[in-house]
Amino acid sequence: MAYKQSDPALKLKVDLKPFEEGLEDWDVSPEPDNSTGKVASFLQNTGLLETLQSTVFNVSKVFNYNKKQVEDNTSRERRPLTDAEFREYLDSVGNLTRDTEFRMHVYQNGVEHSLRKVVWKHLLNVFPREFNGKKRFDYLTKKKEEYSKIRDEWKRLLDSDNCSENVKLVANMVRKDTLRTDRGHPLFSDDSSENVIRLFNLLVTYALTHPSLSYCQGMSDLASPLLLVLEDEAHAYICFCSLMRRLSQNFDLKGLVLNKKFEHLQLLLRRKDPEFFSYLKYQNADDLLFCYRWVLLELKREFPLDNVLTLLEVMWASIPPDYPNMMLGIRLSDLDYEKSSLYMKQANIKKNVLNTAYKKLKRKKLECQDIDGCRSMVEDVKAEEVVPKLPAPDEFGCENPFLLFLCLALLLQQKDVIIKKRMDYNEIAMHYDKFIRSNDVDSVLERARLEYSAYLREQQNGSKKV
Amino acid sequence: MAAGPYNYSYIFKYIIIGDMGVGKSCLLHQFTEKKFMADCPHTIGVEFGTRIIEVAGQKIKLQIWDTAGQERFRAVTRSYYRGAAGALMVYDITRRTTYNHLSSWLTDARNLTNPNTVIFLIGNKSDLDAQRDVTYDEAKQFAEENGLMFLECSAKTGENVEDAFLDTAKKIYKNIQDGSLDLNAAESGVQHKPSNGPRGANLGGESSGNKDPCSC
Repeated sequence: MAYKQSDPALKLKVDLKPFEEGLEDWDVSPEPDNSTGKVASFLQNTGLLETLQSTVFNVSKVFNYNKKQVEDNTSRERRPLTDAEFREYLDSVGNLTRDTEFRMHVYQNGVEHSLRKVVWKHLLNVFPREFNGKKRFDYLTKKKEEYSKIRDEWKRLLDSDNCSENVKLVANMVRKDTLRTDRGHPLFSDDSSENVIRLFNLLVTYALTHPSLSYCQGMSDLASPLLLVLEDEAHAYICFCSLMRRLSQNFDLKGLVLNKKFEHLQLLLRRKDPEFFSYLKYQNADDLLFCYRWVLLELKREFPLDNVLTLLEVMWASIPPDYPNMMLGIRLSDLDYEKSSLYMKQANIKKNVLNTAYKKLKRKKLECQDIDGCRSMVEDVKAEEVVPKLPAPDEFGCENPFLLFLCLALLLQQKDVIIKKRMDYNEIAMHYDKFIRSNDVDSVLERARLEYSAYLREQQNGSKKV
Repeated sequence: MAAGPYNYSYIFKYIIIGDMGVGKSCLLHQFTEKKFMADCPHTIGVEFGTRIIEVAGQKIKLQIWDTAGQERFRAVTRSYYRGAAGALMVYDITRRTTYNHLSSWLTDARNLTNPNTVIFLIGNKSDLDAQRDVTYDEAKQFAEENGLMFLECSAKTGENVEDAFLDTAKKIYKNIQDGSLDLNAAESGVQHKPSNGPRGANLGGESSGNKDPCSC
């Protein structure tokens, strides 16, 4: 296998303990403080609403959305953020002071490819807020050293005779998946190509430094764009850790957060296009399970790898900045996955916080059925008619509301053909799957931005009334 | 894909289950496309395939749900079992751990499907006989003890792949013929399509029966 340490002379017996103690001061960043109203206040600060209204569309059009409009918007030129423009958001010592405007710019226009290496680290909240250019550079240098040390350590361990079963298991799982990730892309096409090896290294290191989560299928898809853009294994690892601060909840064993995201997506479709939702319901496809990969991987597999980079940065820019309170700790843990309950605790907290009117409505339906079968049917019909309001941005989509609108755009793109051909569940799922890695980024982004701004308008009007 | 609406008389739903990397998606691809797909991307959630076959002169449309294998996704994949008429349970003959996990997959398959669901055990990668880690005889014995049909297959060469999918369908069809599988039972995993019947009846039908699609 291409991954193995080639020189047998390097095989050493390694005790992990002393290393772990030596890194006491580098603790893993805790969950960031998610104070209420974060997304809402971010949106107000960015002036996202106003900008959207003034530059792209007028609101009346938004509600009477039609194809012509998408074409109009698609033809509107969007110029990706340039280096010179990016510098305007920094102060004299290189501190990103105008961060909300910076995000707004990226949300609207994306980023020039050569600049992504720099900008993505900001979009992914790699650095603590007060870091200037010099501090960022030193930080990356230090973290890169730490990363390399850890990586070399487990590599030696893996080649030694006393390698634990856990480490072997993780390495085998990751190897299997890295060898089947983005193989169609020239930079990942060869078993021994540099990027395939980097992807393997990054993911094993992540799994061993995050034992409560370890390796989950799907992570290789989330990491490969980072490697492609950053062209540096350690930097990609640091960005991946930041990304996973937000996305680890997707991999919760009970799927609580993912269920919530699906509930929200169903609700969105039901409100935006009741006709299509009814059709899917009739085909028993209103569970939208065929969108599972879209939501889990935040659409990474749905577009050509080179084009999905734009979608990712636009989506990340739509999320409020979430600076880490502490610097990233990189250390190998006790390699015992079963004992750690940290992850489940987080999931439980989320579960309590996220309790929507939609869920209450469902409960009401159940109660009705308990009392009287006949009446429950009437209640059911009534419940169907009252489509609950969409949750506020802070709750909607569990920290990434814009993703739901991207999914909505993908869903609606195929509505006409699905209804016309009277597709059943499997046909619908297979139809959407035909567009894997080949959807058009620009049109999906345009439509999603349009629908998202309409939603934000509604939310703003709603809160004014209150 | 959306093959002519009325040119088959039955729809059978299958699920494919088993550990990650045993070759579930490759088996499906070999069966539907008659090709081996090297570097087949790992399945996230569920992916779908379909093919129309013929059993005893009847055209049957197989709707195949291919699931993700990693343990972590069990909570999700369990929701796909509902209403499956056939379950293909796959292990890799070169990796014993994938064989050792069969009892856990079997428990799920039994608990989450109906008693008539046909479970077919597939030992995949039979082309890699030199690296074999599970003997044919022990797997055969496991299958017999648990009342499973069994074949060793190769998604790479195509050996026995066709048979595994077709034998499962024949068994389901036989169950329909001898009355042991009640087509009207919820979650039978089988839909009967009278020659000119309406499209769009439910698989594993919950409630919405023959509702007009635009009624709500």
